[in-house]
Amino acid sequence: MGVFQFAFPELGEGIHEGKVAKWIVHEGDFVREDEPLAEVENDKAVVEIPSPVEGKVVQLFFSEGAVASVGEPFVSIETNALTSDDKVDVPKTPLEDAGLANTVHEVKQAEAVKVSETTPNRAATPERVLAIPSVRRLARENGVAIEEVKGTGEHGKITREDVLAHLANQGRGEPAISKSENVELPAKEAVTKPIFASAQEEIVPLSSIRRSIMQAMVKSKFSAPHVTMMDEVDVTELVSFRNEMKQVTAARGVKLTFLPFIVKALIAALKKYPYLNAELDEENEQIKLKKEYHIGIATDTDRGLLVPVLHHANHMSMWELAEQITALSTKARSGKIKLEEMRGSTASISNIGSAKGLFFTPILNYPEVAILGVGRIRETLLRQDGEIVDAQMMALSLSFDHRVVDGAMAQLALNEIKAVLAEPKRMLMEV
Amino acid sequence: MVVGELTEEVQMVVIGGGPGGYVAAIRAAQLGLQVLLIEKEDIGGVCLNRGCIPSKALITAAEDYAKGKNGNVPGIDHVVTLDFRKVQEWKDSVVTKMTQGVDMLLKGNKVRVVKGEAFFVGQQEVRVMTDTEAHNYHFTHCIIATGSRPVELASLPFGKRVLTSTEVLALGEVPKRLAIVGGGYIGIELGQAYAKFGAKVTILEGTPSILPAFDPSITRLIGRSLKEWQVEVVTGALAKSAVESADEVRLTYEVNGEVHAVSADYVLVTVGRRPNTDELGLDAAGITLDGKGLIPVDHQGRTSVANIFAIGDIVAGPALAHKASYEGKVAAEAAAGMHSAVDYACIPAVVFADPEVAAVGLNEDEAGKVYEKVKTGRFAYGANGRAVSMNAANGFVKLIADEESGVLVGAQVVGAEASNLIAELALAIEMNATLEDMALTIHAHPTLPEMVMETAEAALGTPIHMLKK
Ligand SMILES: Cc1cc2nc3c(=O)[nH]c(=O)nc-3n(C[C@H](O)[C@H](O)[C@H](O)COP(=O)(O)OP(=O)(O)OC[C@H]3O[C@@H](n4cnc5c(N)ncnc54)[C@H](O)[C@@H]3O)c2cc1C
Repeated sequence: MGVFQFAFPELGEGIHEGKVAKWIVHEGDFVREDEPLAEVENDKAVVEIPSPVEGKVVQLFFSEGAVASVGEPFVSIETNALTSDDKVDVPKTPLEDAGLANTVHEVKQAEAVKVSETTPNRAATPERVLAIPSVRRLARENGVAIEEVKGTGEHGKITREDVLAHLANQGRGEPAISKSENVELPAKEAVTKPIFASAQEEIVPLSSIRRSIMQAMVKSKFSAPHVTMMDEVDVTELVSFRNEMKQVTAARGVKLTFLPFIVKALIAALKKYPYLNAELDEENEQIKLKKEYHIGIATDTDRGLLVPVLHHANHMSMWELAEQITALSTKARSGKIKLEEMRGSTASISNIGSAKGLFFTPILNYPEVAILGVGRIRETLLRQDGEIVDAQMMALSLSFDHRVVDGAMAQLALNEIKAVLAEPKRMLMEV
Repeated sequence: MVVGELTEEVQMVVIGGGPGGYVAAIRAAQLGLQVLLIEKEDIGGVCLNRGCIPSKALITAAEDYAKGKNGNVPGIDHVVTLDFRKVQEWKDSVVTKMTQGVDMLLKGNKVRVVKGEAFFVGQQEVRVMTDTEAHNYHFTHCIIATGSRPVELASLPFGKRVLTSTEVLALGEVPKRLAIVGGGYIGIELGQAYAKFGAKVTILEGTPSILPAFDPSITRLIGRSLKEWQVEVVTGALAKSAVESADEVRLTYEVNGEVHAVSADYVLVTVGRRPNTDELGLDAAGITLDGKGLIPVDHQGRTSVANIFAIGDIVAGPALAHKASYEGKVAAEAAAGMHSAVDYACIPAVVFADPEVAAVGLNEDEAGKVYEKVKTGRFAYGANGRAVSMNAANGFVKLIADEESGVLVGAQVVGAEASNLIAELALAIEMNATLEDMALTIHAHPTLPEMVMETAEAALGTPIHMLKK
């Protein structure tokens, strides 16, 4: 005699729990194989759970109305067929036919392993986990022990989707998939390897973000020959306009930096020169001109450079831009940003001015065609109409993919950016 | 001290240019590391220069000669002559072609190759000695791939007529009589090849069976074939001594306490290989060897010193070139920060005997210890159209599966082209293929691989070209 522990089975794909609507058997009842034990309700339907074995119901682990999750002890049944040392030879049940038998299967396997431990002629080697090499690699790269993944394939075979689902359940967010072109998830740090240090140097293994940056930079620098135009613009008016607006913005609880203005100015230029808001499709020998304006904002974080994206920035008011920029950069810095929030940009802005930089040669956020580098604003004297005047000059560096755009067009675009920034009133015309 | 001793900074040092080392060097370079490969003898290591490649060239030549002489197909008569020196020249040209190819690959991947013998002087530094000078390299990562060399028996020291496989592969003429101590795969391969060239070959094996790593059903077939080539096999034989004279060597051995002797032109001693780990200065690196002289490593090939990896014949597992290469890639990737791991489900092993033998995964006994029940299928070459039309009807394919799931867990092939047939079976195991999957995959007709499909059908109880008993 043995007691068979029946764990709450999976009721269907993606259904992990159910409410015990009604017990059909009671403790002490005799139940035959395939006879219903209980009615269980989920958001889709009410189903009967059949007994996988024949025997006397010893214990019901839930009261009616309680919610049971897959894998939890559900019913224990005393059977004649088993002793606790025996292999549990679970007969095929309708559950199995309905593809609902994972749990039953699991119990069986667990028991089988136990047997092999106590039987001397069984090797210590456990049965091989069923998973193909590329899936095993995916698990490794995401720090998942393949043995812990629940396989949904035939005979418990672990699929790619199972590994991804396992990751999602662990709350680790999106998985790192090798060779992804995009910046990897900030939430997941590389599993740190033992570090070997000597007196002269310290060896720091690359974090996953650093590795992604490395790959992205190499790809961009070596695939897209880019050129940088550098220019200055008198933003005296813009500076005073922003100062004027400071009270209003403070009242609204928004931090108004120069970035929203720069985004507006960039979009104005991109609209006029669509080849800068584009992507080169080398394979098919065509250029895709993007009709939406998703602006990536290069953001410095403790972990490295991340580029959150202002999706549909062309539809945003100045307020919305200011709020979105603050929200995204806060998320990026705290590691809470999602992968989608860093994807799909059509052109980017890199601001080195906040670190007091001036001119530089930004690397394209490949496969974009243009990136605008913004330097600091400095006070200087300007000769204007024969007079010496005080002026606030902003440094601009526009890198562009020379395969798509030539120098003259790039400079014209830069001129457009300058024109908008020099005369903030024009921004009214751009909304 | 050497004058003007220099220390150069490198990201990755690979010691040894065999199939482990050169593959690791290329992969590391592909991943952006700056790589220095140190090799004391020839690029390509044992495998290309003194192992897999030259032995297979000689085996092919021997097979060609034997087929020519004995006629493969009735009705075609040949007059065949043998110029063994020319055969050797051709074999050497094969080796040169392959090693030059590796040289080119290394160059193309910007791997710097330095000739010299390396040993550790610290956890991040090796010294490389050439005939004339010494040079030190300070590294961030290191992969040790120094391979193995033949074991020398105290009772049979190597000499002019007591040889290792290296010299036997390079003999200038076919010996009249060749005695071989060791019935493992190298002894069988070379013994059978020289028998085909006309040598009278005697093989002494210490255990009760040749090819002790393989199933008796396989060794029986090989034993029968050796007999056909007049190779004398003595099992349970203990070699005692070899006395060299001017034109021969006399080998004495003991079987069941009785002393016997055999005279030969040469004695090949091939009783195993020992890892080249004793002269590497591993102490200075802080690495300790296990009892067999192997370097203990983790699942990425990392030694106890985190920035030093070891791969190939100097770590545990079968001493095979493809295992060395696999481990080389893993170690290089791990050093470059990837999460790679030595994580194979199986390693195929091949003996280029006549007929060829190949095995992968578990054999029936091993499978029985892991799985509750196993299902096997067996199919004979004699029932396969291509095998018969190649006049190669000798052999079988055997599949071993977990009965519950039908998943393939092991396979063995004996017969023509077994070395090529095993690839599909290794892939099937890695991909968790079931007997059904294999039975349902269309195999071209008439080919030898059709037997894989047929064997799967046989295991499932529905073979077409075989009557069920
Ligand atoms: C006759 C024969 C036939 C074989 N046939 C097969 C076969 O058919 N299939 C198969 O898979 N395997 C075969 N093998 C085994 C195969 O050759 C080895 O498993 C394989 O070469 C191991 O690769 P490795 O990279 O670990 O070392 P090796 O190939 O041994 O290479 C190590 C290299 O390191 C160099 N080295 C050593 N110490 C130092 C040092 N201190 N400094 C610098 N360099 C150093 C050596 O000169 C050598 O070139 C055969 C072996 C023999 C002898």
